[in-house]
Amino acid sequence: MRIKSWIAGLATGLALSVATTAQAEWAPKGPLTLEIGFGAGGSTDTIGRIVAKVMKEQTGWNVIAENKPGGGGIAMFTGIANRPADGQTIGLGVNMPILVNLVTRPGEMAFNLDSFDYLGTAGRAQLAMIARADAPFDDVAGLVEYAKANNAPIAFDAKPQELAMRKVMQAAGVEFQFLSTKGGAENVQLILGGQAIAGFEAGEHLPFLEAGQLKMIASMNNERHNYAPDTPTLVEQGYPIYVDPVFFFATAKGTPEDARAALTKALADALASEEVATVVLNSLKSPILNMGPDGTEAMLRDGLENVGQLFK
Amino acid sequence: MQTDRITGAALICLGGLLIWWIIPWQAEEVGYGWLRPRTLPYIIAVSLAICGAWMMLRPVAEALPHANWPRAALYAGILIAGLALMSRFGFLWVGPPMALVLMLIAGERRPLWLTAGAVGTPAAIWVCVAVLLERPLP
Amino acid sequence: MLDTATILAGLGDAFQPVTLLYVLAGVIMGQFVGAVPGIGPVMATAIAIPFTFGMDPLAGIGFLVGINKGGLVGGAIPAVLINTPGTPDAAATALDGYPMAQQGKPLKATKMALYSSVTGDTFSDIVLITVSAPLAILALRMGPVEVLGLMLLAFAVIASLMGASIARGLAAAALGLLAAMVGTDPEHATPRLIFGNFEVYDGLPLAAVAIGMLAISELLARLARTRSAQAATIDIPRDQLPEDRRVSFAEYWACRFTVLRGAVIGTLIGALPGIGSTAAAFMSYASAKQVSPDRASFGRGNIHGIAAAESANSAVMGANMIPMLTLGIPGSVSAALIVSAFMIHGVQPGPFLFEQQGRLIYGLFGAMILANIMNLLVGQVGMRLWVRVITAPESFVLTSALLLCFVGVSLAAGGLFGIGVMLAFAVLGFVMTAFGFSVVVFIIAFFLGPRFEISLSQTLALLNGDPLCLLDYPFGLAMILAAPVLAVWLARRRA
Repeated sequence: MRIKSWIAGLATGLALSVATTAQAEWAPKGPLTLEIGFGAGGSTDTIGRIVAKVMKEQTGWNVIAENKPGGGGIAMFTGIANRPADGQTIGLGVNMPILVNLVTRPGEMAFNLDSFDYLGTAGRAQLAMIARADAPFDDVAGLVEYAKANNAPIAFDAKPQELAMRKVMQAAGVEFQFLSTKGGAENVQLILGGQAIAGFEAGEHLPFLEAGQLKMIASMNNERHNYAPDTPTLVEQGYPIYVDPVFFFATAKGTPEDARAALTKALADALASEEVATVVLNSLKSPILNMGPDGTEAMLRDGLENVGQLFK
Repeated sequence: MQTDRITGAALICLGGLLIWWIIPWQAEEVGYGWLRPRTLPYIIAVSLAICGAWMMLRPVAEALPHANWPRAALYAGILIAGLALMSRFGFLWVGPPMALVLMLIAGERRPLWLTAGAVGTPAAIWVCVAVLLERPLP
Repeated sequence: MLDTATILAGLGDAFQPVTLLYVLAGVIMGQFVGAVPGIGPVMATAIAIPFTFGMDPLAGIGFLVGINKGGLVGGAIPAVLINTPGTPDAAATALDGYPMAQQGKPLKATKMALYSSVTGDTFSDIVLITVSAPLAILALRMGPVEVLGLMLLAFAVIASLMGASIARGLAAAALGLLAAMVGTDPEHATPRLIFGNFEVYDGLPLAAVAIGMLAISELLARLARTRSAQAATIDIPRDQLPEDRRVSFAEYWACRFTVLRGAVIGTLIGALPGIGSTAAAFMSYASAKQVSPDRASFGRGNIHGIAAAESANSAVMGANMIPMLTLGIPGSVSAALIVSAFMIHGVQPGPFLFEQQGRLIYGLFGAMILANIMNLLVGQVGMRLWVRVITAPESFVLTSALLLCFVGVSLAAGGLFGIGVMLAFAVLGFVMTAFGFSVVVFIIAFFLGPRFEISLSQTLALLNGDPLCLLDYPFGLAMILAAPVLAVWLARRRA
């Protein structure tokens, strides 16, 4: 029964596709893979999965979300850059790890900003420096003071966080220890468990702030966070360094014009939906911000310059 | 005894190869941090060499290796050829004949089972993966 | 603390017909898919997440829980019946399950696996429901040093248990670790040993390596050995006594301490994020063997071996939810996938989860217990079906298994490239086995490798160059020191 109707569907589908190829709108041949540059359970993962879902509903394409963690998105984007530009695969990553790697180790990267066609952005992440609520300090100056007398292990899950803290370390003349982790959740775990004195998290720490288990030491962005207007940024606390993580979508350079247009539109429609907005607001605590293809590219190129000055 | 000596020597060679050639070539030099990209690979390479030396000095008396090498190589060859063909023609064209060849070499001659293996299994896989899950077959 | 009304309302939700149906569907799918090499519970959950978007939260999460738990039971089936574990945690089950199946008692072996799996799972679920909060706090105290110690302990147990000699065990572990070095290094995020292949930037695909080493190499060896391909894969005597087809209560009861020990080991290891069910299964197996009066019969179809392995690896799964539900920290990839399903349904995990979503959480607990019961029922039917399949001729079963591995790995590990990796490691596994190296040790080292390196990196950073700092971590230090002692002791006992 099922097979029969399926074959019938196939026949109609074939007939239709023959009839409409002439003026056909571009559609992916087979499933469209949305590769997420981080593991399951984090904020990038949530955005990717909800966008894939809404996109599938709106376009009727078979959109599959897949986790491709490694190097803060470097692994995934290396793959995208080396893929045939057929519009079958798009990547979702965060700009900061990409930019910092391009600045600090340009020779070793298998791609640069020219390797991609950009499709849009989902929003900004608000990265916070956090500590356990009973930590003997409330700001970066206090942390520096603490580090003068004690070992001060700091949990980080992406290179920019470590480099920023190394800048603080040099400027203040103290020493931190760096605990490399697999993600924000592990940072929180090490902080709550008392193995790390401070660490970083972009969104998932909010319930812990409300519960009074964690406190926020600084905003790592160049603006204060909308949910914590009283916590100053790292820049305001005297260390001229910040990160500006943006979630962005890209595909391989040289994707045909019609495919690129179709993908850009499908993505923009999904991002404009109520459902995506709610989920992103829940996990990021910041609104959807789609800069569009040109805006995304400009954001990355400006960012590269900026990061070059900050992190070189 | 002899096997242990040869295997041990092979492990020592692998360790040396890693230490002097592969690790310096394939892992980056980093100037700071406690656990650098090369640290653990070097430790592993040294351990391999030590295990190799241990096996050479203290061989255990066991008759190794026991395997049917030519036939295993034949099957492995078919699988590798199957993969190469799949990358050109796809699972739907390569899967059934590959299954048929494997079963014939294994000595199966009954038409019913040959059909089940070469048609039934690939068809069931196709229905589950391509139709129900909407995932691409290799 | 939640009021009883909320708890009852939540449990009641789980017994709604819709939820029941979805949990049942999940268990059936999980058992079926879990039995296919290459597609374990994790892969099955990942595929199923999009299907839950349209359901209400409890039905969707119950469905995922069903798939997860069904997958655990399903994973034991190929391990026992054709000695091709799809995941390394089932490799411990194969050690005694497969010999028992070969003796013509496949149904007895799979049933024992089913019963001990469900028992272990239920035990850890009860721990999760009743004492998760204190256990989670205990787990938080276990930092990098303790995790490192526990891993060394696991390595010591496993390397001295398997393979033709200790030197071979250690060499196999070193080779597995070496394979785990491929990818991006954890502390500096530089590419390593990738030889220009961007596909392995995030490491060699786990599923491809595991299936290649554990399943394909075994299938190759079996095919190469086959002389009478027309014979049944496993010959079940026609006049088999009924007690060889079932597990009597007396037999189950005789394994009670083995199962309980496995459940406790699994629960404790599962409460710590990142170590996983394989180490638990092997540690449970090793301890069952050590306390047994009849050590020589392990590896030759001892029913205690199956009970030890399955109770421990299933107990890990329930316990993985402990850090997730109490702290919002996922303890494993499957738990992380369930977190991601939670978030898409608008539920933010974290310390307030119980207070804000008490009804949903108790609904989840109800669904977990239900899934265990359904596992038992579905398993009764499913095991019979699989055992029927296995009486087909060897040529058919082995060939079909090979095709399934090809497709499963291509789904789980990135298409043709994954299949290539699988075949390369199949050849390596075949050669290693022929020369007396344990592929299981290799695989465990490979799976634990990344976590091992990151724990080592964190430990070294915490010590900051001063070994005396280790004294601040008495538990971790004790485990690190115990590892070599235990290895030597186990080796002596084996010799």
